[in-house]
Amino acid sequence: MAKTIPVHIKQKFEQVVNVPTLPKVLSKVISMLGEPRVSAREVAKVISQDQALVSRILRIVNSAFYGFPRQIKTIDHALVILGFNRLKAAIFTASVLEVFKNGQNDIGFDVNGFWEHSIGVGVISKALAKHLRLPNVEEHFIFGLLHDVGKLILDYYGKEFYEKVLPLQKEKDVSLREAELEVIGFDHSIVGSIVFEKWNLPYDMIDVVTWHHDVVNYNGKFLPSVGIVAVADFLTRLVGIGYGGDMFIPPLHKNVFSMLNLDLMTVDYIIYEGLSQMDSMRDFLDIIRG
Amino acid sequence: MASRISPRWLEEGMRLASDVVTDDGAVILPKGKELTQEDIENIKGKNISWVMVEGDNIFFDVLKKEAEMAPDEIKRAVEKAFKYSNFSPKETEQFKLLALKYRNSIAGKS
Repeated sequence: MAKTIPVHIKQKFEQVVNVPTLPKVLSKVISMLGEPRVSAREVAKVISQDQALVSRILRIVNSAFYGFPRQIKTIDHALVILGFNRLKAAIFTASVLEVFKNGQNDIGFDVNGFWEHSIGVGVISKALAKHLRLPNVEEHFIFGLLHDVGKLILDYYGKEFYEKVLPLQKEKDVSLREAELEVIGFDHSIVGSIVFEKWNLPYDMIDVVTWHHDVVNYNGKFLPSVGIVAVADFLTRLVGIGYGGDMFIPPLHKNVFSMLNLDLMTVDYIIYEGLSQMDSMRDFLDIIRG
Repeated sequence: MASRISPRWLEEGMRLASDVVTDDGAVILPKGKELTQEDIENIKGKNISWVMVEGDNIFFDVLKKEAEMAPDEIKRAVEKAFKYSNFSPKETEQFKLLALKYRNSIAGKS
């Protein structure tokens, strides 16, 4: 469900945030993945044109994320073992990470802390999806991993904004989101929304990025996923994993917990289950760094 | 009503609300058993993460004990972290207990 973003905000964004377009192969792959009748073989053939992309996808597939006991060495092999739908999550992740490979991060944003927080939201999102018996458990790790990509986009490609936002956040001791709203007029969730739409990423991913701070106003069809990531973000901040840009726990309406049928004892269990995966998912940091 | 707690907090006399099962599926103690000290040692020796016992207040009592173990530095950080909380005071207090429990546990491991 698209959030109506005022024209003047989109214009301001376009003037100041210099987001790169996706490389040609990635763009083609993402476009193909959006077609209902595309064959896995055709997608594998296009991916194989970019060895860096192949390498990154295979590293994701062979990581603790999927937890296979044996090495998967080719995209064709990955397709056989995982199936097309499960491999899509790895492809989307590799595509997004590719964009930050050559970016410059030199204005003091804690990128390592950011990714640790994002992995935390990923593992707890996955634990929530598993608890709720959703069919696409692994995709929820990806939703959690990428939910705050808007911050990274601003750090790498919107320095004119973040050079003012980061000091203001520290000076006033407010949330990063509050500082973004004061300086820019919109926050990182809007940035992520605009960019993910530009890159033609799937609607569920776009909605998670757009609405994770505003779940109570979301009426789209991916409500469980958006709710899951909102709760996972809250819980990751609660237990202090990584650094989301400030030390505050985001506000979250209690209805979101009720919607997902979560009482405190279940939440305790989910946190435990998620955190037990954190150590094994830290190899994702190496994949992210490239 | 039942509570899910770590074996660390088991006490004699607690009654199991579900079977205690090992990772490989073996039932070592059945639902309904009133725990003896020997049972508790048996559970602790089997690397079991959680046990369900009867009584839902037990979960909150254990959570308060776990939270109390956090040092002042962590307590101050948790108080500050809840600046934007829009929960009721009771709900906020419950989430603070969870925060203290896990932040202390994570700090202990690093």
